[in-house]
Amino acid sequence: MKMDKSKQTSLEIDFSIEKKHFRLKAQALIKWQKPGIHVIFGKSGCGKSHLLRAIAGLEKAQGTINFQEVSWLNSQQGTHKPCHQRDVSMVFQEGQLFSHLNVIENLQFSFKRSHANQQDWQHCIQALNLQPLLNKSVSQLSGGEKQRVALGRSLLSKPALLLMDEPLASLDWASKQEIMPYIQHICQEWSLPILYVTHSLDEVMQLADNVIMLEKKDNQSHIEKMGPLLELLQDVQHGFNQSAQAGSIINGTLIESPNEFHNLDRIQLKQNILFTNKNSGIKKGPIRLRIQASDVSLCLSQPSDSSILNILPVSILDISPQDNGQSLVQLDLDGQYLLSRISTHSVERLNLHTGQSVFAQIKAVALQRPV
Amino acid sequence: MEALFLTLKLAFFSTLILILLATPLAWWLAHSQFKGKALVEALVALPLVLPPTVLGFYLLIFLGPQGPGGWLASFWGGNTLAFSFSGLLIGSVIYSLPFVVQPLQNGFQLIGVKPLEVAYTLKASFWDGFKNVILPLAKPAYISAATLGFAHTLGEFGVVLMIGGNIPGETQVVSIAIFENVEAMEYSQAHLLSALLLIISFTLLSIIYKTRKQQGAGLL
Repeated sequence: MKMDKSKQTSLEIDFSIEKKHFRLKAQALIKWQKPGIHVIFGKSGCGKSHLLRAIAGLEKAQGTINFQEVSWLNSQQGTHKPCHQRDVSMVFQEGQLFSHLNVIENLQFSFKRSHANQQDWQHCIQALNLQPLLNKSVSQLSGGEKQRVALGRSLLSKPALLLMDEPLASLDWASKQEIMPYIQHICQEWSLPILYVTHSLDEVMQLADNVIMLEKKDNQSHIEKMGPLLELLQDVQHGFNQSAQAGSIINGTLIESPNEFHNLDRIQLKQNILFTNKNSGIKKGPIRLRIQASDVSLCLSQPSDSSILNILPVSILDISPQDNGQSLVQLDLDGQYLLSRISTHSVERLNLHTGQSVFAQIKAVALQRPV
Repeated sequence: MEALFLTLKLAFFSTLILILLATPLAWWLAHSQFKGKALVEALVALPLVLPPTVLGFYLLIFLGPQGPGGWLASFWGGNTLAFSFSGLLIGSVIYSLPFVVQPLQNGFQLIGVKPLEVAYTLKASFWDGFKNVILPLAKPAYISAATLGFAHTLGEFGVVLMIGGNIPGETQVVSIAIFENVEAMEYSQAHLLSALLLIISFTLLSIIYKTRKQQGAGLL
């Protein structure tokens, strides 16, 4: 079942899409050295889904697409491989299961049309834990279950490339947390290169190995940057600075916690230690955290009578006021970048300025994933 | 009873031809971005508003010796399609066209292109996807369309009178036979045929409204 891990997958795109209100130009060589998830992200309306649909062959585009040396699109030569002849499968928002078929029939629809064998079928049912759902009708499934079946259905068509178009967008937080490990697991287990579209920072942080950032200016969209997530962390965060999701990513090491800390996890930064709620699933070792800007407040001196555990010395790198009466303050925490969102009024009242040493109070820390 | 058999035969073949004809037309109307689409839609809907006599008059010209219908009939030695079963069939198809196209168009619009796109990404071609995804999803729409087309053809009168005349066994359908019975004061025969038509139409419409209620389970 497992493909040769040394095999490299490459997708070369150079095309443009014309829409009524915008134009997307996409030029990139997307490579998977090993199975992994490339996340395409950008603000809503910048054409992420169009990009993905053009690669699938569901959207008209002008230019070229080559996958593993096979030409999928060459508008100059007039070649356009229709979607069903491209070696891809796609998972859509809300799963898009066929409502006239039940779960097992949905899976069979794909199974019958692919070269998957009985072993693949078993493996897929097991990996996604689909056995209890097989005889249910689609309307009986929860949002998360639908997406699991949709993922299985796509796997059974044995694609060489899996496209996922905001697959978790319509799910609640708990269902998202339930599905994401499946996606990571599938990617590794089936050695499947995945191209994943999202506008959620959480999904980028938890799933991405590489990121492809789309930028829109004056109704023109293009690929601004691409590369490994760890190299582009700053840029990724910048993209979200204006939104409610603004926050920062901190790398640390999950270390042993003595009993006196009552079920808290400790994360060692360069000098400081962060506390988080116990996360049973994650092993000790290097780890990535996410801290929402709105969960970080500032004080001039270290309060000793606060219930907040994480009060750490930081220095102010930059203060940028926003139009909603709030300001984003960039902080240096042990050489890492921490973002805080406080009211502009507080900035003035405390007379905050660049270079100043203050204390950051961090209300909540989310563990993202091992690094 | 000859009239009843003829009416059912006409309704059956009209519906069959209509379903075959309306499927591509309704699909195109549901999904095309073509600017002149509204004109085509208006054309399809015309039989809803035109008096049957107007439609019948043009059909008479069209099917007669001077029209393309007459030219067509010359291939098998005739000189007109008017006053024949084939002429009646053509008239019925045009007359009932909106009753079949519109439910199908609505059905296809409700389903959207998404299920077909999903089928494409699972290696299904257009025909494969249309047959195995769109058609099953559109089943309620097809039941509506076929029943409406059938029932509407049963009730046809004006157009038949104009282009079919009143030839027993060839063009004399139930509605015409009732008219003639009444003219000839044969009320018992008129009673029987009227009651039959009433019962059949009521049954068919009940089927439509029953399936419409179930249509809610169309697409998720």
